[in-house]
Amino acid sequence: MNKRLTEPTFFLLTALADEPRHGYGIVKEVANLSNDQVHLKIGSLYGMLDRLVTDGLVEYDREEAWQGRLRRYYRITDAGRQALAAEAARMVVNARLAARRLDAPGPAPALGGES
Amino acid sequence: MNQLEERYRRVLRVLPASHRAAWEEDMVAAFLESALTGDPEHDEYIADFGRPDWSEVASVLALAVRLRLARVGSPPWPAAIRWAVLTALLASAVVSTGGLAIQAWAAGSLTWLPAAPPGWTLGQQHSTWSAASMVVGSAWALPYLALVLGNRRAAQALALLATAAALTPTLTTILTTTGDAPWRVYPWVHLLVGLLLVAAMSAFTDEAPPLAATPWLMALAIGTVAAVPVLLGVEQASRYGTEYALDPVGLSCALLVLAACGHLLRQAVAPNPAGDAWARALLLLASGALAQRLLTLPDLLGQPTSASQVAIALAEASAVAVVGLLLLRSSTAAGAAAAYGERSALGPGSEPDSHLDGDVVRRPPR
Repeated sequence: MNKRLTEPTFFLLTALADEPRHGYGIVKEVANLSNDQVHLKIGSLYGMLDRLVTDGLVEYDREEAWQGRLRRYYRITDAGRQALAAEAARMVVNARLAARRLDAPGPAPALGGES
Repeated sequence: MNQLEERYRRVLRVLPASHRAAWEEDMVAAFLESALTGDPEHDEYIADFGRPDWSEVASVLALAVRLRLARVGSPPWPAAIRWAVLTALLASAVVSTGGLAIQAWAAGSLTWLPAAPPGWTLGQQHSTWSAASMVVGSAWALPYLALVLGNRRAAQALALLATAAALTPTLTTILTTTGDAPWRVYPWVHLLVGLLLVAAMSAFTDEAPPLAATPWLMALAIGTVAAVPVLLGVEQASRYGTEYALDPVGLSCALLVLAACGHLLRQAVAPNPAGDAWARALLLLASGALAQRLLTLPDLLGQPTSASQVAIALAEASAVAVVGLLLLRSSTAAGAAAAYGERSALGPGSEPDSHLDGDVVRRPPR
């Protein structure tokens, strides 16, 4: 899957990369990972989860009881890991390119034009 | 269920039923958890008097819009649009072919049948041009056959021709009548419907599953034979009791109500997996029939029996609106049932009344 991930989706998949999490757990972890820059609303979260489950990037993990309710946990799939890794690699390339251009004195060098 | 949960569930009602069936419990749990502060006293106050904030409500509304827009481009809508187009074309083909047969009989062209009674000279044409335009305007069987046999472009061209030809008498009247000719809405509504049908035929893409032609061809043959006595009855009624006659739009409404009742009864007795798409197809047709009925009401005014005709038209509109609502409920329930099946596949305990270690897990009522 070569679709670009939006920033909230990128953080959601990153939040699930180390362990399965439930809905509100994802919201908290995304806020933590993004230094409070991305605050997922519940409607947005479940729209994204619905799409990610449909696309096979996230799947159901388990349910646990908590204060008389059921918390449903989700985990990232292998396809989800690949999509996240591809997006991370793309971001690294873009970041390096920007850094190189910013560090280069005078006119910007052409792509791949290192001496 | 506390007040905050009830208010949030009320907001969630804007989401499609299928999405709610799959995600509502999870969304409620996550939302309530996000609203808690850890201070029991404050949490109790929030549970009783708190409301979902505007940003949460906006996120749910945005999700509802996105899901509904996405559903228009996903099954079963394309199938529903195709079946609605075919059904509308079938009705037009049946009525117009039956009408042409009656015209031919009234004109004495069908010599092997008994002669028509005196006075049955239906819409006698005064020129070859007007006769030709009448025939082309009534030739809805041609685009129907082209579509059923898999030639969409030919079907669109023929439907466009029939739509344009049906407008010829109106244009001729406008161009040749001096003074104040009565202006009628129906021909223009007919033109709009024809153009919409032509556009909707685009749903017959190359990727669409092939159509089983035989049932649709049989429907045309059987329907045409069945339409002749109905059309004769309508003609009789218009001669001897104008206020009780069904105009073309009224006939569409009556046929649609009958078809919808048949579908709903069949679904109640023996649910069909394709019922959701059929309910949506009939819902599309009901919306079109209701719009036509309301738009053409001005044509009934200013006639000698306008009061009773308007009353009948409003009764027709009400009947279509009622079956439309029943079809909407039927298609929503079918969508929710489908989603419920998918939701069950997510994992154990995903059903609304899931059990945990044999006990239903519920927050105790406050």
